[in-house]
Amino acid sequence: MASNFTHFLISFGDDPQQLEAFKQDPHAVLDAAGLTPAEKTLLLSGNKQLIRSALLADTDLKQALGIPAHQNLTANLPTFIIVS
Amino acid sequence: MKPGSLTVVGTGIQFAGQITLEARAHIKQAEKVLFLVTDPITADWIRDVNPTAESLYPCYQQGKSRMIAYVEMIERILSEVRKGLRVCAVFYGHPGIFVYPSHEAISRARLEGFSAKMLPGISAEDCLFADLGIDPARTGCQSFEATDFLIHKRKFDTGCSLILWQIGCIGDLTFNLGPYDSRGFHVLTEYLCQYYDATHPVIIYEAAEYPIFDPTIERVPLAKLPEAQISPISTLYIPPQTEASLDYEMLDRLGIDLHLLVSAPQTIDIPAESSAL
Repeated sequence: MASNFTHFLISFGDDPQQLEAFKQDPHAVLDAAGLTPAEKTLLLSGNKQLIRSALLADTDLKQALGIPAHQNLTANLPTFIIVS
Repeated sequence: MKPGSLTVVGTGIQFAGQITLEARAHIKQAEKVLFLVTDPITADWIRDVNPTAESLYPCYQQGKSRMIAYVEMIERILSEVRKGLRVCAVFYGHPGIFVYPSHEAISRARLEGFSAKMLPGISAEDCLFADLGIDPARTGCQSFEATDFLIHKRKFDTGCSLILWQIGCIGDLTFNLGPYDSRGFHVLTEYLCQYYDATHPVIIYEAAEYPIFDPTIERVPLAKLPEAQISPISTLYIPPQTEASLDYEMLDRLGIDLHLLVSAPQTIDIPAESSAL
């Protein structure tokens, strides 16, 4: 999943026109991006946690984040608490 | 100045699109990159920009104090600086907001004679102001970490906006992979109900990490907070309940003409809670 799918998601960060096109007609943009049926279904689900879980199921992405292979996945890393 | 330096940068909240040009340049040109981010796509992107990039996540361990993990992160960062390398430490959001290890790593690096600096980034608070349409200049704005707010009984003004961070993990100072205990959230609600009307509308907010999704904006009456869906990254925004009164003596001392004071009402335009799909 990693490269084409992640590059597609990253591309929205610097292409507001593509983002707008996606909001208008997600199917057309997903078809044009050449994503797999599973990836399209995932994005069309609109479920952020599902997308995150799918990304973390990818060994390479899990390793990129620094999560050991044996460790269970987490939906959100806790942020940085400061209690003095 | 010794060889070796540290630059701390932030990725912003939304991957790739919210990083500044100078932060990206520092990541690219560093001789060693260490990072702590929450999203695998951001991690992958950082590794693409600089192949030396290494995650600080392994410093976390289930059930271990987060403070111990932060001390390990600081040591890990400094160990690379001490090698004489140009080091870039990358954190999620703004690297100086709710990030203990970034400030501490800079202080220690400077104490040891190294050049160290922080670059600003886009924080969750910046996203909140944009998404909720709030200008903190209108009524003033108070911002506290939720546990800190409660245990120090921080003084606040119900006539100003109040933002409470990390409401999903109140009272839990460990690193926790599972769901956090919601007991603290009930305590917070009870505490706030001493100062605000139970029906006062408040907002549970989460910035959008993915550009294709809208931010989470859930409006509930204060007393109904415990029934709301929250996560470890949820934030509570409480709009002012009362209007601040004018100090006419101060107006006079400052020579301010009352007629020049413009007090525009602030409304919160909340987009429908839905994804972009």
